[in-house]
Amino acid sequence: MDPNSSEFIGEAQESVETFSRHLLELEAQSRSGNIDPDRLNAAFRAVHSLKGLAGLFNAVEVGTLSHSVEGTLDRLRLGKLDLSKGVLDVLFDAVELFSALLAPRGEHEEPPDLITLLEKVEGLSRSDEDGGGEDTSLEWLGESILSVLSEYEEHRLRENLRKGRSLYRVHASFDILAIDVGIEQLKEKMKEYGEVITYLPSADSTSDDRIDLDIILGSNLSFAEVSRELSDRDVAVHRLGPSAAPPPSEPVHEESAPASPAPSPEVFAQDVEPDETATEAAEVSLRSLSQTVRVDLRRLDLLMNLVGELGLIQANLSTLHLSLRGIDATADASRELQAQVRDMSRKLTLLQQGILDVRMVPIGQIFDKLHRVVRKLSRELDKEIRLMISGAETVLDKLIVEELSDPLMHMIRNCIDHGIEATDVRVRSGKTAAGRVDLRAFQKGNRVVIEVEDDGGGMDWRKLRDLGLRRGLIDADEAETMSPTDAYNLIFAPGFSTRQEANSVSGRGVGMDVVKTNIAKLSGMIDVHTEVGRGTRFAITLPVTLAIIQALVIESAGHTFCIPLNAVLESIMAERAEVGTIEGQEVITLRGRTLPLLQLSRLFGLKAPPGYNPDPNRIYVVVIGLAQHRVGLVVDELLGQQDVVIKPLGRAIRNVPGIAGATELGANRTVLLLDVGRLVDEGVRELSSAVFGGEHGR
Amino acid sequence: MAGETVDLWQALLRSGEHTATDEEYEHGYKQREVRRDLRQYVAFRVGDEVYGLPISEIEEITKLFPTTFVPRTAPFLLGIGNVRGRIIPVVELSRRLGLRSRGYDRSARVLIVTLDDEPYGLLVHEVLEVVRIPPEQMEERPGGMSGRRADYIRALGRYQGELVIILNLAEVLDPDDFILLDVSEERGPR
Repeated sequence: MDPNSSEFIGEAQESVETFSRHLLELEAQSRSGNIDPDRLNAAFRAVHSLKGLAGLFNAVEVGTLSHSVEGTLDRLRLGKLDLSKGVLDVLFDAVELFSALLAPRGEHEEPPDLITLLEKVEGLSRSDEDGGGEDTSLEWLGESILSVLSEYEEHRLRENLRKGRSLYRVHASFDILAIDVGIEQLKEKMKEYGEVITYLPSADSTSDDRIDLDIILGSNLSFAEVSRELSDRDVAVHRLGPSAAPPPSEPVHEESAPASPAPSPEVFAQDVEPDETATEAAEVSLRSLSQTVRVDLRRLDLLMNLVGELGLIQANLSTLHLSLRGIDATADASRELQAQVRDMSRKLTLLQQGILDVRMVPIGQIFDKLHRVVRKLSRELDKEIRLMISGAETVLDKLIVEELSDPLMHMIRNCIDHGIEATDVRVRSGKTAAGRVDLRAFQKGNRVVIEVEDDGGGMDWRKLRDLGLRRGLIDADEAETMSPTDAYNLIFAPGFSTRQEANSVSGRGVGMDVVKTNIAKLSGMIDVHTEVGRGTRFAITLPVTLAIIQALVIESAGHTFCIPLNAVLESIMAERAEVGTIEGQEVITLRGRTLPLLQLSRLFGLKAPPGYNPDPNRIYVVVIGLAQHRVGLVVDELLGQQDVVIKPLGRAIRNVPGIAGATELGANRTVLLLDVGRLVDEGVRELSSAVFGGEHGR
Repeated sequence: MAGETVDLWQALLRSGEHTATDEEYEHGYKQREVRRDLRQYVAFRVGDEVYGLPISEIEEITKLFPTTFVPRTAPFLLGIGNVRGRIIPVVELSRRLGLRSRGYDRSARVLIVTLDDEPYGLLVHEVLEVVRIPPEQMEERPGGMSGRRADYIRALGRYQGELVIILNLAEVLDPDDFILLDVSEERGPR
């Protein structure tokens, strides 16, 4: 199978993400000094499944790396290696490399450097060989237990003893029909008191329809406490220890063990041990435990299209019903039809919502990636950064989430590189040594707001203005009259970078203007608030979904267009006489602010059909805004609001400037959807060339 | 008459089957087995000229449907229309080929063609018939022809003494030609 197939990449990326998440968790745990072995196992499993996947798809490099990382994790699991900062660094490097290996690569691009990292990983494994000689005798456990413990279980057992925990043998008896539920419940309960080290089939089965297990538990609690908490009719607790009598298990049972249903999937150690027991476990784990299916987004789009068309049919039915009612309003059939149509429309809405929900994914997916970026940057720049995340569960359309990861990465980089001051500067100004970056997501009405905030130095608008002047983005006259808000907006201009020299982190001068463009592409807006000495906050406002949008339907010179409602700030009616001009540019005063106007018919060169004459004294102004600009679009008529399904335009015309797509409005009428971001851009450029005569630009 | 023939071709297109013509019956039905290399073309009239497209490139033939004007596009793009839920750009072939424009009457048709898996509509004055042209009756585009128009021509076919110009769809529907350039990027401050 092809290692470039989307199936492989998708699944592999998921495994890498999972691995990375566990790694971040482990890093936090290693700082507090209390590493959860379950977490380590989970990380091991993620890499193990990645290895399997790579083998299946013949992805040699990913396979080699995951094999090597798996080995390291195994050593960590078995306590042959300590989870030191150095080890974590190498593992995080591995995550980066996995991502690089999975990323699409152009023909002439350098392949990621696998060898160096492999050497590093192997180096880890070798240098710490045989740390211990800790082999205190476990003879007292008795041959019957010792002989069945896996290497990992034995390690955990020793680890528990080392921590001064007591060992208990919990004998439990389960009804054969409810054994999985029973084990799960008992396991959950025992986890509160200590660590479950292993399950052993017990010798003293009492009857055919019951299965008895011995569970070895390591706990800080005393024998009395453990037995009070756990003992009941089917559970008995015995103390294990050098002084205690050997448990009554008999070795005879191990031979017959495979016949017992004990190796259930819950016995995690067997599931992941790459030894002989694996073949046995494989039979159990062939059936996937996951209840999810992967769906190609295009298929969902197809369904969405169909639903949209059903909506049109429903609208037609309504119209048909109305005309029927004109003939005979009292007929039962007519009333029945009305009820049915209404019912259908409700169900359609539910169906539409259902499909939209399928496309929704939590934004936490990219927050995890950003976490890694922060980690890497804080190391590179030697700034200690605390990343605070909230609202990771906020859901957004999958497409939006994908498109957001790059802009957010740029913004976080900017925060850390430009925003957060060096540690000594921070301490001098009375701040904590560690910089703080907040990443927040929350829903606000039918939009999602994502905020990136740092507690760094903030931005001084005068400095921004002066820099803009030096970079030739504005001229002296403009600088003279520039407001703080306009100065802040300079950071979104192409070619603006507040650092003197470019470095590898940010500051190639492509940062914020790219961010702005990408956000605008998603019909989003970006706002910036900053306070000198206190920090900067960027807020991105996005629609929850893109596939179906609410649109304002307008008419200009006899042509109908849709404007995405989420880009419309307001629409007003105005007298033609209210329109003034500044240097030939039409403007209107709206609540004391001057708003530049754009004539849609002129922008698009629309010719009115004969006999079309709208009221010459009245115009409608649709105030549209994207990113930080506001422009008034002049149209002849507002026809109303409507939910529309966006359909892509074909290759030939999808790049028409100012047109974002098409949709259908009843009666098979195809209507174009305006690309508001593009129109605002054009308007702003037209405005600046009109007001400043154009000769000051570059 | 046109209506009937169109229906026949519709049926043909749907089934993809070969139907024997009168000539074939005359020459005996076996002829069909022998001449497997005969390629089928849909012949249609644009202005006064006869053009053809391989039947495999044509998805269906419909009557003219309402289209929506798309601003900032070349004049030959009539607009976009909706055919069974798909948005399809419709090209007025006579303008695209630089022929003298002439009105459309009831025999005007839109050929729905596919190029790189995407549908396009071609407005023509009249659909004539499905013709079978043996390879030896096809000639390369004459070397003497040059200019943009020549690029649109893939080959010249002769059918019963008449010239059929076989179009090169990839050139006729070159995406670069659809958008008017003077309204795009070049408007910024200089």
